[in-house]
Amino acid sequence: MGKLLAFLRQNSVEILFIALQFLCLYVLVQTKSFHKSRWNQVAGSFTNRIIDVRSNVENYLSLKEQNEVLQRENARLRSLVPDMFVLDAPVYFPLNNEDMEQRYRVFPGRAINRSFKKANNAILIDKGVKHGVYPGMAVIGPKGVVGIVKDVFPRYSTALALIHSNMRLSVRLKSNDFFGSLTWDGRDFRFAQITDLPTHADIQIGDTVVTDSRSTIFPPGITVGIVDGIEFNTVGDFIHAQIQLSTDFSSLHAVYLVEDMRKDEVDEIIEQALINNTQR
Amino acid sequence: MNSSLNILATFVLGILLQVLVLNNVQLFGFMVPYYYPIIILALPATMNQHYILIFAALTGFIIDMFEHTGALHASATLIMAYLRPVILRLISTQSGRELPELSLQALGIKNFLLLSSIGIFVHHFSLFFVDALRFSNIDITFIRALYSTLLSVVVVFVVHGLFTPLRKKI
Repeated sequence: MGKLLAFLRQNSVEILFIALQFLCLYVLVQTKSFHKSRWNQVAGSFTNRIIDVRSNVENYLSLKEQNEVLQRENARLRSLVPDMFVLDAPVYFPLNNEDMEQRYRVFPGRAINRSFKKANNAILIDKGVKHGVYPGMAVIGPKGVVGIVKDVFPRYSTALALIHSNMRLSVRLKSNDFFGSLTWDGRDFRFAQITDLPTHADIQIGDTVVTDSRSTIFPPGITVGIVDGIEFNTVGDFIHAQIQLSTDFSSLHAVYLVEDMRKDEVDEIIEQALINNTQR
Repeated sequence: MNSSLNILATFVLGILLQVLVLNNVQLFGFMVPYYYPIIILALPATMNQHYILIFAALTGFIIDMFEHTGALHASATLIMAYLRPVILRLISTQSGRELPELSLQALGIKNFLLLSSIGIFVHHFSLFFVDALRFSNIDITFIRALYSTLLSVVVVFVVHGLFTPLRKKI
C-alpha cells in the first residue's frame, strides 16, 4: 500500500496528464460520432452569442461589398425561380402554372462563423429551430452549394460544409447527365473531388457541376463548381475529377436555407424501402 | 498577487485575440496562426506542473468551445504543456527557474524564439494530426504544422514585441 502511494506521488504529473488526455479524447470521440452531440449544444449556448457580436462588426465593415453580392444574387434568383418548382403533371399534357407545385422554399440566413482550414469544416448560421431550421436542411450561398445543417439550437444552427471529410453529395455534369459523388480529400478548401465517374463519361475541363436530383436534400441544378482537372485512373475504370468549388468558404456571409416541403413524404418512402429490404 | 493578476490578464486578452481576430485569418489556404499556446509556454517556470496541465487543458477547452471542435485544442495544448519542462531544460541549465518570468525581454530573442517555436510546433503538429487522423497522410500534416508554426511565431513576436517596454527592449 505504501509503495503504491509512493508510486502515485512520484508519477502524479504523468497520471494527471494521462487522465486529462483521456478525458479530451473521450469528448473528442463523442462530438465526432454523435449526430446531435449534447456537448456541442452546451458549448454553443455560451459561445454563439460572442461570435454573433464579432460577426456584427465584421458585417458592418464589409456592408458595401455584401450589398453588391446580394444584389447580383437577387437578380440571378429571380430568373431561376422555376427551378424551385417541380412538375406534377405528365409532360405530354399542355403545361400551365397549375401543374407546377412548389417543393422548395428558400429563406435567408447569415454565416456568423465558418472554418475552412481544418479537416472537418463547419459553418455557424444565425437561424435555428425558432426560424424553422431542421437537421438535414440544404444550405446554399450566393455562388453555389454550401453544406447541410447538422446541429440545431433554438436560435442558431451548425452546418457541415462541402469541405468536411464526412460530406458526400450527389452531383452531375450540367452539359450531359453523367453523375457521381462529390467528396473532399482534405487538402485544399477551394477544391473537391469526384472519384466515381465512369471512364466513358464525356467530361471536359471547364464543365459546370450541379446538384443531382438523386440527392434528397438539395434541389436539382444548383451550381457546385467547375471541373478543374481530370485524371484517368487505369486501375479502377473511374475518372478522378478535381472540382473548383464555386463557393469561397473563406469569405462566406449570406447563405440561404432551403426547406424541402416534401421532406416527410420522401423520408417515409426511404424508410419504407429500408423496412422492405430487411424483411426480404 | 501582482503576477497572478498579470497571468489572468494575458489569459483573457490572449484568448480574445485568438477567437475574435486570429481565427478569421488564413494565408494561402493552409497557414493558421494560433497565438494562445504561448500563454501556457510563458507561464512562470516555478509554477507547479499540475496547475500548468490543468491550465493548459482549460485554455484549449475554451478555444474548442468557440470553434466547435470538441476537445481537439485541449488535447494538443495538453501535450505541449506536458513537454514544456523538456523545452525549458533545452534553453536554460536551471530550466528557467532562475528567471522571474519567461517573457521576451527576460529570455532574450534566441531563447524566446526556441521556446515558442518548439512549443508551438509540438502543439500544431498534434492539433493537425488528431484533426486529420482519418486521412493518414502524415506528410501533409507535417508541412501544414511547419508553415503554420512559422506564422504563429511571427504573430507571437509581433504581439510580444509590441508589449515589451521600449526602454528595456533588447
